[in-house]
Amino acid sequence: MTDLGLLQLIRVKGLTNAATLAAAMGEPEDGIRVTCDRWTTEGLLSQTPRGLRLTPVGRERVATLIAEERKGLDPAVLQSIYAAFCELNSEFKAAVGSWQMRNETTPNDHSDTAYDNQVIASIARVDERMTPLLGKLSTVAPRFGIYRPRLSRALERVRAGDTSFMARPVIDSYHTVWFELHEDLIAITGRTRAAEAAAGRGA
Amino acid sequence: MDRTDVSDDFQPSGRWVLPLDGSQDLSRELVGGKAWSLNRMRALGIPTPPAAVMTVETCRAYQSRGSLPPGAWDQLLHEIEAIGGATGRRFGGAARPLILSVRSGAARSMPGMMDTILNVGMTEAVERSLAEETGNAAFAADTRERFEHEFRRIVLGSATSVVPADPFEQLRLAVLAVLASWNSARARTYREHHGLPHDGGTAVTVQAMVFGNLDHRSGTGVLFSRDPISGERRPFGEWLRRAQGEDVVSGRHTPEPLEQMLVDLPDAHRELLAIAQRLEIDGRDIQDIEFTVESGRLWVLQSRPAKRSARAAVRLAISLSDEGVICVDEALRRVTPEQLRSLLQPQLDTTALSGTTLLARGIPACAGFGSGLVVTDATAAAERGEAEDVILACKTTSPEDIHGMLAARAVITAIGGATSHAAVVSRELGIPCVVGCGEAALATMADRSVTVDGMAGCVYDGRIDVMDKSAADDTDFKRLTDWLRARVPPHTVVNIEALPSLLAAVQAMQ
Repeated sequence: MTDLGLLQLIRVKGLTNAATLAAAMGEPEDGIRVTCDRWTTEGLLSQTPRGLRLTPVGRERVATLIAEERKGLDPAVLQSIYAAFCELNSEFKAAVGSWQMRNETTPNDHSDTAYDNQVIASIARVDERMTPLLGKLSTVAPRFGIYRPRLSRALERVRAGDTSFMARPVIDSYHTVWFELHEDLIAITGRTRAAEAAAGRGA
Repeated sequence: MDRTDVSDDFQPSGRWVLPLDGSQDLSRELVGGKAWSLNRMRALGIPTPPAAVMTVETCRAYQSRGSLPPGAWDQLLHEIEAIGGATGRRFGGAARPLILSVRSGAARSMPGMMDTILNVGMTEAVERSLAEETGNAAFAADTRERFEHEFRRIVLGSATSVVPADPFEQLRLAVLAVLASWNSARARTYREHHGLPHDGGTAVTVQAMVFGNLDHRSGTGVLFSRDPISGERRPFGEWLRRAQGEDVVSGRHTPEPLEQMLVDLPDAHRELLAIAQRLEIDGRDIQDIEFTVESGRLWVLQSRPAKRSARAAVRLAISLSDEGVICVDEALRRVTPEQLRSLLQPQLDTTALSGTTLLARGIPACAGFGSGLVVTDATAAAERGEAEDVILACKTTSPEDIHGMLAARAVITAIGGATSHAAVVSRELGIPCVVGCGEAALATMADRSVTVDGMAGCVYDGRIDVMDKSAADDTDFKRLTDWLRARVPPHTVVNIEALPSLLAAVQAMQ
């Protein structure tokens, strides 16, 4: 795994720890810990009582590495991948909305299994269509390879009945991973979240 | 309606364009809600700027043949001459030129989905003439610039196209643009989303422009005939001196409370309040009124039933019935079981609410109340949240902001809808959340103590207590209970908790 992959993961998680990072990357925790300790010595990370986070120097390093990564890539290819993602993103968001709310004012209390299964099925349909997109993306930028297994793990947990893996923050729920992927796509295409939100492509 | 009904000769009313002078009753289906309301106000003797309407039937004919039906244009010109006569102005005239707005308006409201073009008829000569007439060259130049910008954007669809110098050509293109906007992608999507048919059509209202930005005795505003949040019988509104309506809507300027109008233009203020009352009685409901004052003269541009909170809906139904405006059965139809259900949840202290300011209104994303100091940065919120109550308010949230959200009593965003990251995460955590408040509102609340009502989508100034008060003490609920008890079978158990379902049952029987 490249430095950028791990650093960017720390960036999107905001405040995190080696165990979470190791689980998301699918790598042994010890190795991650060693790397993080080294980065802390180099001033890229700070270890706070509540977890690891990037320092301003670390943020700058991520920005530089992403700018370098982007330089080697075809903007037209990135653009087409991003456009395809945005299309799936609106479907995904609508499905997550239905997962949380039965209608505008009634929260989904998850007592209706048939309803929940319908929503899970529509998420699964979106998930299937993500596979070719993520495949294409990882051939262009291999560090994006971590997202397919992360999304699949979350969906398996939901299907196994652990509903918190649909949208619960902090843990690697489907929505957490999806949103981190979106954040990463915004970064690699050289966009900003504020501009994307203003354009109605997800806030 | 079947498309095949609309032939070239289809002209059921015989008239494509009608005056909106209140002289005859018009149907909403024929002229759209906006024109209907203008005509009704005229009939009540309320000052609305002179106007005429091209009917919905004209739009249908236009859609089927791809051009205006024969006679429609001449009829429009005829009505515009009448508008000129009523205002002492002439469209395309060199001295005292008439300037028009060209507005869309369907029978069923489709807010913001179709086009409206203001200041049609603005040419170089008209700008000069207006500058001379008002002694205000800056105003005239500003009006022309607004017009050309809007005309290029909406009618010509290109920022570099040339705006026609002939006022009549401007008018023709504007009318066609409004007719065509019935079938714009966003209008079609809206109708599909709301289950409205595509074969209706929009009317086109052509109206004399009045200028709220003319001089220091001019301005624009919005008035609710009662408070739409509490339902209290007191006028509630916003006023912006020396401005046009779009200045307020665009957020370019922050309006002042309506009380300021009493200071600026007391006569117009008094007249406005009297009109609001008349409109409320005529509409038998709380009104949301748009108005403009031009050189001290009040003009009402629009009046429609106001959107209201659950609390206001109950308060209004009861007081309108007490005032004899509506009967009890009608009052019971004005409240929904969902509104009652939401009022049975814990509430913000209503006394404190009436003494505070509404800082922002957005999309309700997660119900609940939260008070604290507004912090605009997620990292700062995460740190300060350990020692004090903080509210995280930012443009939009990113995954990395999660720790700030976790530490916050409530979350507010400027941009984003009901499925934005902030909304999804807040619901998952049960943190009260309001999204899409706008950036201007966000700026005003930074570093203040605020209270967020995630159910209503409101942010109030200051800390307001949550009252878990029993609805049994509420006089409005007592009245509703009495009304319902008289309308259900004698053996029915009538208590506060049962009110929503009893109301649903009574409404179903009505």
